[in-house]
Amino acid sequence: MSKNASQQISRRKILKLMGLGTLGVGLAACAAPATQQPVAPTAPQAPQEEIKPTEAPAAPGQVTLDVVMDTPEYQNQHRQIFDIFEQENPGVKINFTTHSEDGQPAYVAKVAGGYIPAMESVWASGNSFKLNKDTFKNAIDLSTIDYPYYDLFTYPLKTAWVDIYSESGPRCIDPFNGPVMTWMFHEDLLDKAGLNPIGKVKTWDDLKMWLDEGSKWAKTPDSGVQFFWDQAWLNPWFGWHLHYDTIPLAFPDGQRENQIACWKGEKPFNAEDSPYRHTIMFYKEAYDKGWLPENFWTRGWENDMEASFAAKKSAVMLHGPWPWDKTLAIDPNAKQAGMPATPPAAGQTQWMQLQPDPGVDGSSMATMIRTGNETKPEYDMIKKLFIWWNSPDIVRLRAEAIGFVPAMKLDPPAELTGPQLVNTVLEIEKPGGKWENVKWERSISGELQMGAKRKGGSPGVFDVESGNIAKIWADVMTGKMTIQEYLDILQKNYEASYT
Amino acid sequence: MSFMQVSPQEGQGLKGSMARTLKPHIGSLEGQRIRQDWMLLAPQLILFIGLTLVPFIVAFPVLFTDRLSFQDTGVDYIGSANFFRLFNDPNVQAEYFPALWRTIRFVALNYVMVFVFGLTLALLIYEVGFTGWFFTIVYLPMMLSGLATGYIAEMLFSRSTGTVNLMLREWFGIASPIDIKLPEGTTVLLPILIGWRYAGFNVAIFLAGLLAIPTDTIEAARVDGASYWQRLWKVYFPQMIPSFIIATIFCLIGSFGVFDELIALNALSSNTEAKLLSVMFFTYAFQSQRLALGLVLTLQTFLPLVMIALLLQRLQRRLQY
Repeated sequence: MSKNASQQISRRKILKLMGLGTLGVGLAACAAPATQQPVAPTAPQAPQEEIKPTEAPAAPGQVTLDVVMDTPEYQNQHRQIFDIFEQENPGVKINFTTHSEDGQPAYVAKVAGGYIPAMESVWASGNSFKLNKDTFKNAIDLSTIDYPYYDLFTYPLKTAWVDIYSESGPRCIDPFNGPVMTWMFHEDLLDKAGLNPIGKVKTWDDLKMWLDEGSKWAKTPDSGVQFFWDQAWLNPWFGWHLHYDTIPLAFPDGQRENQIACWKGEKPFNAEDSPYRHTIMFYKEAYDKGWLPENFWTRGWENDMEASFAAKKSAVMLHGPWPWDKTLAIDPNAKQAGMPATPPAAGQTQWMQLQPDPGVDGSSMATMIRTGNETKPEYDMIKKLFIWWNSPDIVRLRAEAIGFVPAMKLDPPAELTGPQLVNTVLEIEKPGGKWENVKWERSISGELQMGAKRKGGSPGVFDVESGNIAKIWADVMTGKMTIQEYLDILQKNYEASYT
Repeated sequence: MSFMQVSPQEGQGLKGSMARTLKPHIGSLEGQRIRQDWMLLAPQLILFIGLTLVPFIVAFPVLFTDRLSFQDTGVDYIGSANFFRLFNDPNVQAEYFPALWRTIRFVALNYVMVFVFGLTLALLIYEVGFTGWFFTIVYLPMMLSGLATGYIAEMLFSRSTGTVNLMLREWFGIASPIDIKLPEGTTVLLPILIGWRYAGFNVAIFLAGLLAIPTDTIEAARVDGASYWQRLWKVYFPQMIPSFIIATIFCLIGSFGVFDELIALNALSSNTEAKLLSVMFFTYAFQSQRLALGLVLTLQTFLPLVMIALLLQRLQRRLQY
């Protein structure tokens, strides 16, 4: 470029360029996707394999039903199940799409703009989205659609919504138990290190000793791992009931009834015997003793923690079913094993395992029919699809395809092959099973029971939706805030959030 | 020159066309020009009206409601209550003012980066005459998405796997790495990241300013024996003030709008330092069920920004050589 360049572009030229550029961009945006309109070759070409469009246009007279879900990891399995519906119902096409957490806000905006899919998972709108007293009218009252399978459910689906929210319902159906948090580990790694916990870890103190020994082993040069127990952060998973409600079950005063008492306002969250004190104390001790990665709240859930585990750069996680599958996808020869989350502490005689709530007001597996569908001419077909999707035979297929435990009595029962299920979850309370002496805690959480009482726009006890909780955890872990101060915040949040 | 007194030269441009009588003779050359100008402007105007103005007008009534989210079905009119929450709600203040402070600090650091990257590279191109490949390198980050640049930064400065940290550890024996997801790391690295990404954009602004400087003033300074630094301070910069002000306006508004990079740096979960106002507004709208309040706070934040931008524009006209 010459510094003496005197050629100047006129404003008029700029205007022309901008105008034509914008027009071009606008036209390009309006153009149909190439996949829908394959361009005919202009010259004879060698025979090629036909490229199928990803979404074939519906034939004349055909009904197209949009289904939207938030679990792209199960896209292929669900797609195959929807193919069955298409085969059973000629003339019906299921346009099935999924999106991850990143796509949820865009989807919400699309719905706000008037888009009404035939069926959707409740969490398509967001991981913490609930059909509560402020939002339940988004979903059709399912008591109006003659759903015939209520009696098969292992929880009171038909009345739970009415009992909790005092509104007619249900508004969504989740045919599965909530995902269970258990310890998981690379069995071969721990066998080699002499740290396999099965048979050795029987109490809470044993568990802490195991974590301590494991962390020391991880620091040895020949361990091959970066961490023994890896932990990361993801809103709203961390610091939600998966952690808060699980850990206290190891302690006598941490049992469900005491947790529920806090939620019902019968016991302050910051009481000396608050069940939630145990969760914070356990993590604080783990952080102080170096059992957890430094600044673990800055570690990415998938990129750091799950990826490290799958690559055997860490040995242990406290997690749900998903990473078992992810690890096998990366390393089909991985030898994973698990252990129920909370062996008993002093004074607690029973080893408990939390079974999180079913999705009464929403979950990733709970589906709903959005309000507005009832005026569509194809509403009968939409209802048929919804009932079919939540029918025993299809729930069995879904359970077998994605490895979730059905919350329905199925005959024959689903053949569940999920690695966490087979290794750990299905062994709990099973006579003769590996964990027959461990007992499920299946009662409904205090948070769900108080669902109708939560003020819209309030932080909630743990302030998970906003992400503010992460900084507080960081402050507690690094000693900038005491455990009591944190519990005080929980109580303050409770008072601000519940009527 | 007043707005209605138009020189023949200005009459060739859009402003000149619009400044002339609003009743041009139909079929006259001037009328044709005006029609052509509006035709050229039309696509942008349509997009602006359709994608900015109409949504704003549609959303405006929401400001006076208690709408929690797009999905809220029990919306009530609450008057101007949302507009006072910033001043009388401690919970909102506890989130807003720290986020505002972080944003202002980021704006200040980012403004430094505008000159570190943009002006330095523009001068390099202007003086040395780098072209082609150098332009490509400078403009390349502009073509990446914000999320991509955020993830690239993470790959470089991740605590345990970041390339830079591995090199520091292996080659220099520095044990404590630079963790971009920690508040201290974000404070320093985020402005550098944004400065690098928008370097090409700022280079264009400053280069336009440099090329607009009459070469005879530079030559005169040379003949008088002015050193390079003297020319820079006494000749270049005074005549580049319009460019500086334009860059300032873009930096100010752009910094408040930075979002994608913050998401990549865990702003929605544990990285407090990355929780700038843009993240807070997003959280209010899509996560915390405080949509109407979030919209009001957005408005309360950006109206002063618009005022500042307008003031800077006026300042630019005054200071223009």
